[in-house]
Amino acid sequence: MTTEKTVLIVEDEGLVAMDIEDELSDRGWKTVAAVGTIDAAMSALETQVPDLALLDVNLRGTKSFDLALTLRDKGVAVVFLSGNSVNDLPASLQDCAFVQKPVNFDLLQTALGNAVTGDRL
Amino acid sequence: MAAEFYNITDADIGRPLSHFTHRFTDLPPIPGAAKLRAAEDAVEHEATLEDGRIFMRRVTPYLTGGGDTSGLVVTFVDITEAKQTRDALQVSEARFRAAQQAAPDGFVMLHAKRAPTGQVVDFVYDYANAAALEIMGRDRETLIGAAMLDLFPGLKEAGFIDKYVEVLNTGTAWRYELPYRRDGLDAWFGASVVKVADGIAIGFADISDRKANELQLETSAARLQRVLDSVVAFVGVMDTDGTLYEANQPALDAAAVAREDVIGKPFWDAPWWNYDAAVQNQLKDAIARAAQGETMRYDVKIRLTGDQFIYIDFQIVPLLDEDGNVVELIPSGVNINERLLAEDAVRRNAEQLSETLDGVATLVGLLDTDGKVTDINQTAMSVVTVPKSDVIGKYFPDTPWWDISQEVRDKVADAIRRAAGGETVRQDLPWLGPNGSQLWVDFSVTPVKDTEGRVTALVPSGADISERKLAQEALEESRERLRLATRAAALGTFDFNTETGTVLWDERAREILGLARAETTFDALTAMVHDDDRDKVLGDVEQGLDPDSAERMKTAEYRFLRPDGTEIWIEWHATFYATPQGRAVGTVQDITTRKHAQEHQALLLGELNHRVKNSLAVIQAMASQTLRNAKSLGAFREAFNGRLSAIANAHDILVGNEHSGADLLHLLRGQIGAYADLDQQVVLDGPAVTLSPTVSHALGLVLHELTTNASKYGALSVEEGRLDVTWDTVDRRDRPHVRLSWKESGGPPSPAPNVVASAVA
Repeated sequence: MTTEKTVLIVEDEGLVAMDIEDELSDRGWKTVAAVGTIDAAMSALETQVPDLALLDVNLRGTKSFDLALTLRDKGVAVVFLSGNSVNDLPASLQDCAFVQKPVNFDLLQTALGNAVTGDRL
Repeated sequence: MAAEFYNITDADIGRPLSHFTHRFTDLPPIPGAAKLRAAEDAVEHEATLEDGRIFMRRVTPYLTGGGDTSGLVVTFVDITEAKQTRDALQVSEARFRAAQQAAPDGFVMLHAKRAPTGQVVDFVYDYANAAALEIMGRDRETLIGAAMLDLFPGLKEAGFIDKYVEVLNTGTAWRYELPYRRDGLDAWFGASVVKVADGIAIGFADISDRKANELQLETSAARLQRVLDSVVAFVGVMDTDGTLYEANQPALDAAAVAREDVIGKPFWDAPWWNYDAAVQNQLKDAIARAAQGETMRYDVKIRLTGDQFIYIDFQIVPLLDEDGNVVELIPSGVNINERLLAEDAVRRNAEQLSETLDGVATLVGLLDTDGKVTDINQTAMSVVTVPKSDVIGKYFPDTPWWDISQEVRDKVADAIRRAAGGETVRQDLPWLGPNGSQLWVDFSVTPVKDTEGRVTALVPSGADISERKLAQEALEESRERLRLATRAAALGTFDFNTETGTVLWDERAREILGLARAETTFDALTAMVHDDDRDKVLGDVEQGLDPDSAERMKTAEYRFLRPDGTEIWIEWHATFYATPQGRAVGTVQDITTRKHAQEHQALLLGELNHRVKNSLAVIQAMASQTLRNAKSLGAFREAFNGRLSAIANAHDILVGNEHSGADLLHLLRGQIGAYADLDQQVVLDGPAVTLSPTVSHALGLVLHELTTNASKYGALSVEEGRLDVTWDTVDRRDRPHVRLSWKESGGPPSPAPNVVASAVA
């Protein structure tokens, strides 16, 4: 990967977000923002549109599906990272990559790579 | 001996006999001796003694050798027996003559007319009584001395002469009842032929009228038989307001009624009844009373087709639940059209009841007005072990057929008493059947009246209704079982007719679905199905009714909106029938509670799964972060274990609050209390705040870091150090936040800065 890709991390568990940022940084991703709420994510988008967004499904009781659709409209690739099941995704988002918590970072890296190049997992 | 006849003793000897009183009731005085001059002058008198014996008193002269009468000899001979025999003979002769002349029966005597070979070729009339002459239509002059075959040549051809000769030759009497339609005669004769010396005597009567009656009885009996053979008629089930649920097919067939024309509708609107408003009202009234628990029974005329009517013995039996409430009604009817006609015929011919009825009715008999058996048919006799002679003359309730219980005997006795009063009494009673079995008979006692309306005899009759009784009981039992089963399972039942598009519901089903009526259209039903399930319902029904489909039974779960707006889950079990019109029957069950429980369970499992994975992600991150900053493996272990405990503590507090959130004060006491004396060094002050699970985990870790830092390097590392933790709540962007202040004092300068943490509650 020659050019560093940018990622938006939306994760309400601060410690987990911090760890993901560290791991992705080690693997050549630049985190534009790590936020815990949808509002914060929307604010972050106003500053910079990343190549990819890594979304937790459940953000303090709110689902991140609407945010995911908004991101895709803006051309941002979406990968879900969640303790939920892939079956919880609505039909319109079934083609998104879905990675289970706890995180296998090698798997996550592949998923992110495929997502930005348009390949399916 | 003389003392028996006269009041006389031995001392009286020598006194004249006329001085003494005698003991006869009618003894004339002894004639004077002067009148008795010779032995042949003996005078005889009959006299009756006080004790009833009859004596012949003979007074004869006692003659001396010179022929003078010197005294009288009085003898008494007991002639009682002889006298009585003679009297009887005289009476019977008179009776015989009177009987022969006045009797309705003919009586003739003939002597044999023989050929020279000695063979009997004919009979010659010697005697004929008046009745005989009248019956034969011949006068005495023509008949007496005439040869039988000269007057009645037909007797030869019809074979009577041969039989008469046989009687003469064998001495065996011949009794017959035969028609004779020759020689100007046309009648049925009942006769008895006996041998008398070298001839025969024939007693005979014209029995044409009786025979006609018997034939009529036979016809009636045959009709009765047909009825008894087919004790069908009607059995059904209806609810307490008279809506018919079920009816047996024969009843529908007989009236050519389509099932859907009557099922689910008021019973009285059915074609059987709707020919007359009065009959309908009678039925309505009966249903209303049966619904109050009364068993109703009456004979009524019902319409079959067009202008064809029959009489039925109609009954409505209420079916009660264990609390005594009427839940359903069972109407039943037995065709009594033919029986009414037959019974009528039997009544008209009661006096001539004979064995003609044998083998026909279960019971037909004749009783006198006291209830003693005069006659009874063979069918009834065939089920008891005693001979008929034991039953005849016996009080009917005491006969073996009623040897079932005293209660039954009392009922029969009561029926007889009421019938003797002129009433026709009728009721169902148990009755002894073949081989000791117990049958039910529709038992009636009908009074027979003479022209003045006096009861002269009673006709008991019984028709076997065991089948109906059994059918009724079986039906009641099965309905009861179904009712109990469906109640226990909270099951409702339905019956769906696809041709008419109507669905019938039982009471429980109506309750479940909130339906006001027992009948709905299928369209109305599908309109009540939840929008998301409607296509499924239609698809399932279509598939079930598809004659090519192998799936005849279906089980499915649908959501359903009750008219009151509540949404319920229903489980359906339907069986589809490939009848031409299409039909499905089955059960519905409210499984809303079960569904909700299942949904709740699924929700909990999903939540648990989610939380466990999130917790593992947190621990993964914690381990990873700890490892990144650890200077040695020992330092990693110490730091990681402490942080893991902090998360576990936060989790404990969450569990204590059933996962809805953790109380902030609890969280602080838990984390700080592990390193400091809460009463001496620490002040915790702020409003009650509940934190979400995510915040609890995160804040728990933060507090853990702060506390371990303070205890190692800050205020909690010395005894005089103090820690003040205060907090309040603020709204930021319309969401509640907690602002928490951590202040250490009195200790060595801490490398950790005072912290203001902010977290979403």
